[in-house]
Amino acid sequence: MIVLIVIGLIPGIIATAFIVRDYKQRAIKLRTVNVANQCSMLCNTIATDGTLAKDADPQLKEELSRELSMLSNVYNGRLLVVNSDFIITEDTYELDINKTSMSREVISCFKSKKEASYYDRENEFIEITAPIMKTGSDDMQGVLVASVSTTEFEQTALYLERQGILVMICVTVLVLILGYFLADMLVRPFRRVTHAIEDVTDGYENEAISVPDYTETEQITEAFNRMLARVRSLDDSRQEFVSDVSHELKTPLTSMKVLADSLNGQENVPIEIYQEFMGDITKEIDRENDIITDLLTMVRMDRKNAELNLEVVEIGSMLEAVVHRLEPIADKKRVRLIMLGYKPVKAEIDQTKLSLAFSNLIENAIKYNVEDGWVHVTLRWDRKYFYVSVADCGLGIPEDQQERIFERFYRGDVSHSTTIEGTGLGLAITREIVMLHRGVIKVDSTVGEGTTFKVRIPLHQET
Amino acid sequence: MKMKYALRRLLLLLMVILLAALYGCGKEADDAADEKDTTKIQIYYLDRGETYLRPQDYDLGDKTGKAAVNAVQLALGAEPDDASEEKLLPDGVEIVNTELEEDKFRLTINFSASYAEMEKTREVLVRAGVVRTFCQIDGIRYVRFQVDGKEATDADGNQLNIMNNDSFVENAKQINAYKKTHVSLYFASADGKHLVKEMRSVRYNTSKPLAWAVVDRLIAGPQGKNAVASLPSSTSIISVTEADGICYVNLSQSFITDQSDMAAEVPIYSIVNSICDTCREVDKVQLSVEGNPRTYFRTDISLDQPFEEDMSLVETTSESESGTLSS
Repeated sequence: MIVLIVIGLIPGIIATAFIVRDYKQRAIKLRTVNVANQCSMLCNTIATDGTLAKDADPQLKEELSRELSMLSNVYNGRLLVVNSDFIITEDTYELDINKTSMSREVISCFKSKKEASYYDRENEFIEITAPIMKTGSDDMQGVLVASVSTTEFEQTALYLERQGILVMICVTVLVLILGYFLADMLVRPFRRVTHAIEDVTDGYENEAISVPDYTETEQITEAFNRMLARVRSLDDSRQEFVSDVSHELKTPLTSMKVLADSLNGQENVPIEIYQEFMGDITKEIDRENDIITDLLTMVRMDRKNAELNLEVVEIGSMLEAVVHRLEPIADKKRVRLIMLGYKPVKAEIDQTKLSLAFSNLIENAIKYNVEDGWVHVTLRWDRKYFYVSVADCGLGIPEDQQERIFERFYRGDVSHSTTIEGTGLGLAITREIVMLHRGVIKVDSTVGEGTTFKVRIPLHQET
Repeated sequence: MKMKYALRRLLLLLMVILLAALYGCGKEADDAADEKDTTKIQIYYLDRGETYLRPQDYDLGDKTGKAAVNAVQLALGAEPDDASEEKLLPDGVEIVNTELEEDKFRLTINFSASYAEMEKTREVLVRAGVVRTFCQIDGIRYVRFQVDGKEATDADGNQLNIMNNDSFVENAKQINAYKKTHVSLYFASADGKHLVKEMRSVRYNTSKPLAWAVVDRLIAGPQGKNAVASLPSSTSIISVTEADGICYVNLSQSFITDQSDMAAEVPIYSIVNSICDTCREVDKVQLSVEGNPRTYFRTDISLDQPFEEDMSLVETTSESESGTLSS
């Protein structure tokens, strides 16, 4: 508030000061010119009439006295006439008649034979000295000295300044009052925005808000709407997730129930049947376990503050370890698991998570492969990133499904899901881990030929 | 221990005070001695453009009278220290001799013949500078010029008057210091026995007291036709001061010496009444001649007591017919 007052006042004060100073200078200049003109004319008259001559007509002298008196009254000043002997012959103050003038300005005038004027700021007066001589002649008959007070200008200037400041204060007060009321009006649309948002928060409103009064409010409401949409979609996906989870969790339980019921319902079931059914139930329990484990992993990654346990790790050896762990599974399916293009590279990563991510990819490559197929794992790197690709010659993924494979619980064609084990969370988890590392994952696939997953991870995580 | 410490500090303080007192006394004595022993005046030089006078301090020492005059004469002929100035007298012009009439407070200066050949503007400044310089010497109030033994004249051959400090006018720097006011002046009646009142509107320089202007106007004389000047026109005012309601007016010798045949009270009460009537804050006026109040005016009126206003002398019938507003 105070800042406003100061900002309001200062330019005004400066403006007033400038204008007032300007007025003073101008007024003084004008006065000087006016008086100088009068003096000039008077000098001419004196010179041509020869009033200062020793034998001049006394009438002329009287006329001169009167003229000088009039002039001095009009301009509130003092006029002196100095003759060629430097004697003061006329003085409208009647103080110095017949005295000798030794004034610097008079002497300068006699020497230079030119008119001169100056303004004494401290003592507040203008002085003009004009030579009395016939035009064309070089003979100085005398000098006319006019002193005019400028106090009236100083006083007017002061008065103007005071008025100016007064006006400014009034204007500032007015502006403040106006501002207060206007401000209220101007801010109203923003208040509306606040209310709209509060309504949505409280649950009264379910739709997008709109306050189009200002561009700014429009921008705010649009941004809010976008956020709302995103929150809604997140909410929706969460609901979807919960329903998916419930569904997935129920499936093994349903199978188990069926098996258990059928065992219970029958009489005299041979032991082999019991053993077979128990085996099936165990598989279902394992399956349920896997789902829950994966879910937990998923959820842990989901939390916004999922932290990366960063350490500098040699990627090649990490991949080798993963490959080594999966060899038994590959062998079972008679798939050849090969690491290609190994060049050691160190990067700043979370070893546990990335191992899991690559493990998922390689496991998938094995699972969705053909008998006697192959899986190639390649590691490359440049100055900024390292690149891992996992390629297989397996079943492939149809193009229309390639986008959806990273979704949770998505398992491609139903025909595959029944024969190949899996929770449908593996790729979702992998993608989360890659994204946590600020990396990129892409898929290339052709049905019947194979699939290649490409992962790119930055070597350093900037904090 | 504590006692000893306090005592020492007290002693120290006393010593300091004592020293200060002694120093102060000594200085005063010195100052007084200084003032008595040496006089400082100002010698005037010219600026290089030869348009105005520039004063420089000059120590006269303890010289007075003719000795002082000679010293100043020498100084005027010397080159100034400041390079932006030149000495007053141009080359070729010099003071040949001087004559001091102490009873008349008058100094006559005789210049060489080349004085008359000086350029007019230079001559005016030389005149003013010389007069002003010499008038600072105690006892010199008037200066008379001679050129080559003869009375100095102006360009038209008219004799130059005897000059004093007031003969020269510098710039009216304080034009705003001039105020217009009404004064009551009491001049002598035509028969010299009474006083006649004249009201006037005059301008005066506020740097001098109003009483000064009053006496000045009295000396200048009346404007009305049935009044006569009460003071001799050769009178000059040496000083006018005011204190505690008493105005001290110091006039030159000619106040007494230039006799006129009017009643003795007239000149005195002309001054007293004028001042008391015009200046509200003044009740009494003390006159003195040449600084000496113990003189007698016309052998029977002593001036050693201040006078109070006495309206009995004033002619009641007429105010002067010209109550003109002169500005």
